[in-house]
Amino acid sequence: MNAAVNTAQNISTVRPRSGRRETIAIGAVFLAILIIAGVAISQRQVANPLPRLYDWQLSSFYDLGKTDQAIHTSLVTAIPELWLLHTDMLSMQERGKSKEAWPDIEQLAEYYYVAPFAQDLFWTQNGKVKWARVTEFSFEGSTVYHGYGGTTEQQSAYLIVLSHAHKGASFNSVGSIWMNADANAPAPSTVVRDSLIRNGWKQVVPYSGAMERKRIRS
Amino acid sequence: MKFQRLLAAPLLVVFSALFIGTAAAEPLRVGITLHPYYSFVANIVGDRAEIVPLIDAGNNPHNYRPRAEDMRRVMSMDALVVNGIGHDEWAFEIIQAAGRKEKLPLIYANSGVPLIPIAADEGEAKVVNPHTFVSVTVAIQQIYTIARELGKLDPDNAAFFRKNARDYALKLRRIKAKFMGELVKLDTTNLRCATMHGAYGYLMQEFGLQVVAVIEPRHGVSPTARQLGDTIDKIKAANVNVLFAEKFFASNLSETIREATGVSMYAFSHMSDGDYSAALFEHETTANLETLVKAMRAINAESSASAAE
Repeated sequence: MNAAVNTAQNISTVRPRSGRRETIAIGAVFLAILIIAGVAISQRQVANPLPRLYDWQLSSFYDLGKTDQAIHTSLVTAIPELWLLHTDMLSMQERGKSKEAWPDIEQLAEYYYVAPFAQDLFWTQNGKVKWARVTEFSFEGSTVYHGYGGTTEQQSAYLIVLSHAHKGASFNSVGSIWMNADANAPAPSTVVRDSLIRNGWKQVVPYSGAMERKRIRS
Repeated sequence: MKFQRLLAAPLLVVFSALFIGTAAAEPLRVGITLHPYYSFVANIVGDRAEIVPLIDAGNNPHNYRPRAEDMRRVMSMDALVVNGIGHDEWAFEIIQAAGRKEKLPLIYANSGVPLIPIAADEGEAKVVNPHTFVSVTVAIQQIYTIARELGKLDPDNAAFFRKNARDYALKLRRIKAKFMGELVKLDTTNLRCATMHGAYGYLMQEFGLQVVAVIEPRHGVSPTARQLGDTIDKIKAANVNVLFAEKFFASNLSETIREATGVSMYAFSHMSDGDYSAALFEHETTANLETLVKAMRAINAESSASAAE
């Protein structure tokens, strides 16, 4: 009797062979890899250096065709030129030697060779845009140069809005560039932002070297 | 003795004032990383600042490895003018190694430049073209930025720097206008050009010319056999008639492409070679524009010959 009990007590259960534990272990390792990789990737995400654009803005880098992009590049360089000439002309006004405060298109084109006003190869290849200085905005503290009538396919109309809002702005390149999908869009009657937007103008936001530097550093 | 003491006090004041005055008038030591920036700074500062090239002339900035003597130079600078968007990353390594990361004022010449993508990469991810110094219009933007920033560091000379920047800008625009005058007489509609390197996007843009293909897929990266084959196909399909290669970085790739496609080849300067000089930018720009006019004249002659046949 005792022998039978002993025999029964010594019985041990042997589970059939199964890969369950290994499966769980491998699954756990797999999950851990996924979590670690996910965290690592999220930590390495490069911050987008581009400012978030509104629907009334365009990126000079991504949204413009070649002609508009070329004209935009030249307009950005024209802005500090315009301010420098404005400073000269104000000084001449004080001495009674000039009635104007801003250079006209002829001066820009023929004396200073400033693109995109000069009627050169660039001008010919980029739609022969007609330029006009619009001075009726003086009460708003702004001066505008308006480009229209470009003949290249999908070309826009252009505005440089030079604002007097900033004290000592004469060498600080203060100005904004706007484009209108209608190449023949007339000059606006006001440069108040909402009015420009209502009339189909979009502000162009340059992708500058400062933004690219930020991207490289991040 | 009393008289000597009485005399000593005012003399001390006078000599101290003279010494302080001399110290304040110490000219800036302005560092530069690339050849065009030497020219820009030299024309802005005249004799009122000293220019210190960060690396010796004769090195290729595309694959430069910093050396010990570069750190000595960076230690002596009051400011450093950098491209900062892809041509002089080694400068940042040197600054870091010299422990001047937080202390050295950096002038980012491109901070206000509207960048464009490397030409002819539609349909692909747009890559920034860092060659803003191989052009006139965009160079002028940088000249104004450098003058403004140097004026902040040396307010006594700010007006002088600004005036020089304007004079220099006008001089460069006159060079451009001269060649515009040449080119406008020629028919440019037949120009279908490719470039070995993305360096000339800004230059071509300011002349209203389009680049159909850029051979190197990325800066300083040779194309794979497949990419080269695709480029050759693209050149043939687009009927490219001119390939602008680089004057100082000759590549046997350009010869291969010329043989495969029959395009005419001309060399542009990348402005990264030779001695540093105030006139380098003008000289190299003039040489590039002469090359452009020469290429255009040859195309015009070919077109006339074809029409005559």
